[in-house]
Amino acid sequence: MKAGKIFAKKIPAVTFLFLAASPLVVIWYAAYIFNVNNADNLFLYSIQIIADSIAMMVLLGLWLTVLIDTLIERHHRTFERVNFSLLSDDNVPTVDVFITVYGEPLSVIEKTARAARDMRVLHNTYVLDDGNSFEVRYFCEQNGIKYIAREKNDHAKAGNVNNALSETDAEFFAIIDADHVPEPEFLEVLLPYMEDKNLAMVQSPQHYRNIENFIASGTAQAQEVFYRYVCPAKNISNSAFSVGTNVLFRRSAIDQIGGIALNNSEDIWTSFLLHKNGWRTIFVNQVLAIGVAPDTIISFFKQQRRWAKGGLDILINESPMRNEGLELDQRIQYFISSTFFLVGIPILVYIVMPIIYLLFDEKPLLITNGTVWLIHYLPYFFLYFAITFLLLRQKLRISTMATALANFYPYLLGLFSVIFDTEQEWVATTSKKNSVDPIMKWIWPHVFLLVLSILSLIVGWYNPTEFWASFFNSMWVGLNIFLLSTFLTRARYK
Amino acid sequence: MSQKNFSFREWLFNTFMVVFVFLIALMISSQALTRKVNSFQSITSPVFFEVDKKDLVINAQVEGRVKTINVTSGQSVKAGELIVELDSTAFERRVSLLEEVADQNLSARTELSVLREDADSFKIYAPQDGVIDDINISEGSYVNREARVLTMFSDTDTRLTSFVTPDQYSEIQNSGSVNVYSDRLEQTFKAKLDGVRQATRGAGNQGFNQNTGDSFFELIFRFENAEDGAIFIEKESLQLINPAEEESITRPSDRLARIWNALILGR
Repeated sequence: MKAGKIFAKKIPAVTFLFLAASPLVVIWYAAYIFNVNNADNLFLYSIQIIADSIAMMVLLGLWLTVLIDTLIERHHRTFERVNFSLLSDDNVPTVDVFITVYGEPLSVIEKTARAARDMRVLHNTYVLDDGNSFEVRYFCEQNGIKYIAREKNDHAKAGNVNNALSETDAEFFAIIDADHVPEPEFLEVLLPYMEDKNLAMVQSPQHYRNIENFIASGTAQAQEVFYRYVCPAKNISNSAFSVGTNVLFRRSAIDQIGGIALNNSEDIWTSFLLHKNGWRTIFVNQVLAIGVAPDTIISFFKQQRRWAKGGLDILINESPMRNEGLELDQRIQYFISSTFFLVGIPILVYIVMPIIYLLFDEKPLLITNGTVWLIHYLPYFFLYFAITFLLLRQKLRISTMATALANFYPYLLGLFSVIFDTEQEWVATTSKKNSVDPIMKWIWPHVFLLVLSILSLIVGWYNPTEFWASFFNSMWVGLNIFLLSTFLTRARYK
Repeated sequence: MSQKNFSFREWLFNTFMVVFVFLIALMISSQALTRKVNSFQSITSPVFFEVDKKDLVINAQVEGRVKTINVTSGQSVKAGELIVELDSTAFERRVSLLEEVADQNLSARTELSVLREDADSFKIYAPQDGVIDDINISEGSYVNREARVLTMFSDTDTRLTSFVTPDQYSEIQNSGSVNVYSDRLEQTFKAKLDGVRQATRGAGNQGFNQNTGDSFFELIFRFENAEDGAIFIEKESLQLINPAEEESITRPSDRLARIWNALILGR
């Protein structure tokens, strides 16, 4: 039995470059843009300031996280020295494995369920079927897997798990989504950490196999940054949060907080409540289950909107920076993670600004001397592009850029639903249970902006007043056209 | 794996949304284009200048009765030409009276020296080349000191003024000197921008569509060759020759704008 492969920690030169260059570049750009003397149209200028501030804050959050991860190696080593007493024969605790199911195809469920049943370490395997499907029930009976269904489907996945908890009583339980196939050593790796009686949750990463798909490929790089840097860094401050699958919980801890949080983003909320009550959580950076990324625009956007809503819910309704139940670094981490989803605003602003200039000749900044602005702006611009290269040593993929751009809409939807407090249904990633859900409901802003961008290029070059300003804005608009059209043509709709 | 469950409602919604979104984008762009075209047209529409010759006010330096007026309104005069003569007989009598007693009388001598300063002022000459405007006196009337005798336009220092829109101003600003054309003389002259003032409402004698409530710029030009100004009459009109006019004004996008204007704005 192995302790598991944990990434060895040396500071790569490019990471160092990222850490050193980012503050300089940001300050260099900020000095230019926060100088009100450079403002032209004041209304547009204030919007630009808001957008840039959010973007810089997100960048700062990432920078801080990478810094922590780089400087403090401890968190990678700390958990190596676990005692494996929990796995010795005299001491095996009771473990339940819950597979949450809601409308996924049987073929998907079968694979996951069998893999879960066959995992090493003694445990009970349950399929929690919110879809109440006869086929699934039959499959479970035929394959020695326990089956739990419930009459009503309130509170979606959270309600589903809580219902199962009312019928079981193991000391620990794991949650695995129907489309994530666990490795045999899943429990072997995660369980020993529970030796620490204060530990309430152990989370392992989500890993996707369907990366040929455009959307899946697009989110892969962002996911990698999240799981390679952000999550391990959170271990330092005891702020690792659940992502809803591939996670092991201590039953007594969940009981103490009153069950899984009844919320559409039950994963982050449950972690939040655990932290408020003083429990510890950790993230173990080892892939122990392989899943399926959302592969259609609609399922992807729904997922992103759900995540945005969860994160922003905490930000707006719980005000993490002032929350007394949490330690300071936990508050900072929750703040960083939730403010990330505000990034929908700057993305939209960056798409719309050059269009406004080309159409209406109004701009936020006085760019009488184009070179001054360019000198301040280019390094900042390239930093965003360089992040994947610096942190992951990979080329920034077009799918990544296009998906990140397109994400502004679900993030904004998440923001609005938090502000205006609307309810939504939780839909599983691979569920085919989509009732009439026309694609244009989800991509109308992208189509609109694409058409408007093309038209603005035409109108903008009718008697341009300033050549270089029109030129740069056209380049920007051209890039957006390329990314939007790539997204709309290459991502699957249904 | 995917169900080909074709829903007409979905198709209808999708198509409707695509068309709707497309139309909104088109409306916004055509609005933007219309604004640009209007601004461009205001730039290319003719700008007229008004000749503004320098006013000179001639006042009487002495008091007296007007003897002769040698000019009429509108007449050209040269510098040094005699324009008005005041009757100096009373003055001369006084002077000769004082001269007789000047040797013995100190106060007489003083008064005499003061009076002698005025001696030249009974003949009023044109100070510069120019054109007579208003004559405020008549022969035989009595004028006091500092009373206005006449006003005239000087031939030097002639200005050209015009009211332009901000768009036109930025166009003109880019060129250093401009060409102005006189219909009457059928000749082109060069002029330089001399001053700018922001006016609230322009005079309504320009050739372009006036935007409502816009601010105008009052531009003041001078002839590059100062003597050119002499030829012109006050308030005469000259046209700005716009360099842009040399190219063809009707671009393809203009026609497009006209179509949109017609469709959407009903013009």
